[in-house]
Amino acid sequence: MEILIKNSSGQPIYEQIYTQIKDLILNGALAEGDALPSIRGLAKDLRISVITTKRAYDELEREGFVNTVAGKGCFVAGTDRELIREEHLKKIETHLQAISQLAKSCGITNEELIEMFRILEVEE
Amino acid sequence: MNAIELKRVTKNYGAFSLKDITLSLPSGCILGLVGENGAGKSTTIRLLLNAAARDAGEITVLGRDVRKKEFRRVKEQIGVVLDEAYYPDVLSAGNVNLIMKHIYRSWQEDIFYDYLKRFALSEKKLFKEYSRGMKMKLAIAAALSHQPKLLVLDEATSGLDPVIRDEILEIFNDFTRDEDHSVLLSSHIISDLEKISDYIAYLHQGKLVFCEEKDRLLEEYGILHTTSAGLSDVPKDAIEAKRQGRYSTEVLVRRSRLSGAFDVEPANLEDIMLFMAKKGE
Amino acid sequence: MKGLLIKDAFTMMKETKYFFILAVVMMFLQNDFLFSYIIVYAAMLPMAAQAYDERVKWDKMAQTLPLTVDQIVGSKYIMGYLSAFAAVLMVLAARLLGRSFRAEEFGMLLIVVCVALVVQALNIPLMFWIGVERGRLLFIILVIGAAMAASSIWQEAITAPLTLNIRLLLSAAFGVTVIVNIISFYLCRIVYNRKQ
Repeated sequence: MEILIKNSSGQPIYEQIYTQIKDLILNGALAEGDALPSIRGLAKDLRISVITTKRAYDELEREGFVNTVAGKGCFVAGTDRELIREEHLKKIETHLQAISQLAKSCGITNEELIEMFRILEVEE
Repeated sequence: MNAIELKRVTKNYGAFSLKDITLSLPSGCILGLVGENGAGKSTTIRLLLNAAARDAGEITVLGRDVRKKEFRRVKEQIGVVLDEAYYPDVLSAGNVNLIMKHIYRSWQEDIFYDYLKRFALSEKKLFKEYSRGMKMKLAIAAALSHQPKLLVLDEATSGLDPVIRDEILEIFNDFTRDEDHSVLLSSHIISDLEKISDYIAYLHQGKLVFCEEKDRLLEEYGILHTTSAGLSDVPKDAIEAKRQGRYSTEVLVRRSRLSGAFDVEPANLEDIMLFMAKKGE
Repeated sequence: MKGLLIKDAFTMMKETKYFFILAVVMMFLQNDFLFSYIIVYAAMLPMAAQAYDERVKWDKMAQTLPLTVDQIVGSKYIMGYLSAFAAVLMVLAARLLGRSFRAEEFGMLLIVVCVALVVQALNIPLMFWIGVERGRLLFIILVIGAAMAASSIWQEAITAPLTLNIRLLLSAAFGVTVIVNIISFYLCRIVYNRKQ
């Protein structure tokens, strides 16, 4: 797995770690039962603070993406498909909202939007 | 457990005094001690090594009161690098090994020689023929060669070129892979501390301005460029400090107290410190 | 403690060279003053080490090491005792080589050692207090004075051995030396602690 930390992004570092690991779990790059790197190891390798890394892991655990086994480390939790689906649906919804706002502001009808989407799919 | 704990520590030295310092370094972390020359960094370090006696307050290092007799045993587990390596200049690295072997019970010759090799330090060359960088590297090698649990470094990287500094910071970073290992690093080079610290303590004129988790500081504080008219829109309690210029105003703001759309730029440690120092005056 | 002695031995190395040259010269010149001088000088050798310490601010380093004040201060005394002992051995060797050694000189040698160690006892706290650099002149005066005193006591005793009760003189000298050294050590501890 790879994690990229950008100091300039303005996004807090713990959030960057949190979202990137979450994405890796959601898109299946990390499967249930996979071990996450140790907090300390990851922090030292990325040259970031141990506390910040711990904060990201705590957040992941709170959200149910990982489990911590005392003395052994952190493992990807058995995320059920429903949860992933829900996550994805939420994302799609936010994107769609943005699209409909944009469309409204320049008078594009729903029919036109659907047509655009069809063309995109065909091209892909 | 905390590797270092200072509670309401005070020390008076004639004109200079260190006032009411309370800070701690949790085990497994790196604490950066920042402040201008004469802010009290070295005094703080001398106090916690029991090289000077505090006038008031409590200091424990690795769980022991530094004024207690048993603290000498604790010193076995502390690796110290001062702003200069104060070895007699007729010594060679080989001599230093022989001396330290009989001072530290837990001295590890092979580790020391490994570091000499890693730092490309000759065993035979006399200390007076060393460059400043080499001297500091020798001191760091010695500090790491007796299985320390705590490293205390007083301006150990200042005056070194950036490549060597980075190499040395990497060693400290690696040292804390073990969660029983902690580092206290004082410097006036803020970028070094920003790079590796978990916590930052800022001393200014003998007083502690803050001791905070570094990333929380960077997340919380930001800089807002505004006009004097625009300043009135900013909530009062979000303003930590401001710098009023003739044509514009810069404000250090707390993001958590700011609502609405303000174009806040990220602040680095140096910005935060400069603003805070100004505010205190 | 041993580590400190080793460090002092390394820093004294340079001074010790002159010391050995002096010892060789002494072998040929069978001079009583020179004999006393070399013993007193030997007891002063650790001053050279202390001068080094001072110049490189070794005490800053020492404070970070797991050492007690007793060890830091005590090592200087022990170094003096060791080098005085080495000097006595050399003097004995030189005397035996020159075949000028007489049995009663043994006691006199002890007196010279006592004088040397009393001078050392005066010197060490002084050096910790005002520093070697500034105390240098005082140091030279002390050494020469002590050497002259020791050598004149010796002369006195050699020329008129019967008028003096050698045994009494020796025990008195030994007693005084021990007491002065103990007082000096405690004084030195106070001086060192106060400097912190």
